[in-house]
Amino acid sequence: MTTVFPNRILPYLLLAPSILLVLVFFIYPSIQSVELSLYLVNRVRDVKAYVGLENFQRLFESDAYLDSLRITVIFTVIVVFSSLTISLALAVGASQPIKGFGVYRTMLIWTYALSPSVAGVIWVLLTDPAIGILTDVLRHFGVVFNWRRGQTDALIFVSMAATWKILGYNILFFLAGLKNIPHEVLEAASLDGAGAWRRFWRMVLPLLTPTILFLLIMNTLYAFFETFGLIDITTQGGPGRATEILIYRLYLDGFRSASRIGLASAQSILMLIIVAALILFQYRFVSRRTFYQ
Amino acid sequence: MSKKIIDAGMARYGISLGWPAWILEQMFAMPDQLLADQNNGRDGLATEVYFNSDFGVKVLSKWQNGVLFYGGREYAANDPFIAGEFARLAQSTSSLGGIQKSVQFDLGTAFLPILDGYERTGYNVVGGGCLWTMKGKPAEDYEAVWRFFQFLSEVEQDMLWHKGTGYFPASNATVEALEAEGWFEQNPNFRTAFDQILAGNDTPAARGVLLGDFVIIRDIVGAAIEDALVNGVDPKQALDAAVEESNQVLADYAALVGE
Repeated sequence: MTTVFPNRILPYLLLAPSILLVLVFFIYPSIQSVELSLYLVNRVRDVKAYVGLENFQRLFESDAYLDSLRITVIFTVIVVFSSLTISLALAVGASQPIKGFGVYRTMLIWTYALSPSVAGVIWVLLTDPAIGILTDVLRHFGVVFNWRRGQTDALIFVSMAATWKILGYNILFFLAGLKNIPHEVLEAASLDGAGAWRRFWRMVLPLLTPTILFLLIMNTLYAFFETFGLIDITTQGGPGRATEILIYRLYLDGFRSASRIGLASAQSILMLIIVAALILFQYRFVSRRTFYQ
Repeated sequence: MSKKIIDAGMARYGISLGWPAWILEQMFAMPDQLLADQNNGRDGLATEVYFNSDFGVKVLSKWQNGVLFYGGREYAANDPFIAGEFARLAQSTSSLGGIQKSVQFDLGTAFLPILDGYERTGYNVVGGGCLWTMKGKPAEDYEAVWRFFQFLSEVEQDMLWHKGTGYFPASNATVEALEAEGWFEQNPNFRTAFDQILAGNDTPAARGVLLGDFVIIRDIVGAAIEDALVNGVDPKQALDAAVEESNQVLADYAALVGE
């Protein structure tokens, strides 16, 4: 189906607002970041000096930055893996012909509607080392969980909260993906004697690969960029620097500090390169195994 | 004292800190220990911080003693204190009003303890006590800003602010008004911070430290404190790393801003 416009200008005119937004809020700041990454800047005094690639050099020589990179990798792997598996399991469960499907579906995708800061507050209240309900329950089972007093606990804690927050989004796409699998295919397999497990591994999962690839990319982006609010409300990167993922470090240097905006710009460029490479990699490797119907 | 409290089963921990990096600065100020060169940055641009001095290492080692409950940054330790998790909290007096309203036990206030073997020569550093406005606005905006500042400084508002939060009253007139209504007799807890200031003298260290981009240096020191108290890093090692990073911040500042 093609839409016929009365003249050649109208379609561009209709696109103009979106293009303008992208230019003003994405392209212009990106160019500014590239420029700022070559400067030493003091925001408050409004002075800057050209330093070439020194900001990048400092980052590669900084143990704290390399540590932050390591933490981000661990965090991203945990969040992406657990959010994909848990949400797939829940979506498969919720897509069975059961009573009250609509209620389940709404409850499962609920978390997506929450803002990161609200999600953070909920988790802080649940797991506060002194007054949290979940902490208390765990204590009854002999598990001492304290994310203010343990690096590992802190990383587990933010990973759990981040995973929980993205589940709803994933479930929504998995439910849609599952609905798109033709019934006849599964029925035919069933008649050929394939059990539920076999049908899932051999039919459902391969047919879901486009959804999985899409979610893999979205979840990676989420873990890299969108978990900032959650970290800020909960651990603020601590204890020490145990949960200082790249995006949080960038915020500290770019917005808390008055003199590290150049360093922060260099970090944003590195992050862009890392994420772009990661997505390209995922796209290359996973799309080879992806079946599009 | 903390040990006695724990042994008696009164609380699981003895003491905790609010704004840990800020409390560390106070620990330096009271016995007149400088935090940076150039007389704490007051005589010229500071180029070096002294957090990792023998004194700083002693403070962190003392805090590592097992009776201290690390409660988190800023005001995070207030909730577990109110819940009775530990017996004492070293916190900004600005929290007093809120804590007093929330606790279900008898609350008393006392001076911030000083490190063993040192004397309280300087007073505590005062924080948060200033009003700021941006430059470059039209004159009538400043007329409004001035009137708003005057409103904030009125005795009535000042009293309200002090009683609600525990912050210092900003003028002598307010103190007199508070005394006239017997506020401090009825609420001796609100008096302690005053007495503490009066117990010290005006020394270079007591005026607090003046540093370029202090905000990020405080974050760096805060992370070092957590490394020592939570992550089990040796205090000297944690502070050395923090000082190295802070000195780089100061060098960047000096390179750009100069004298």
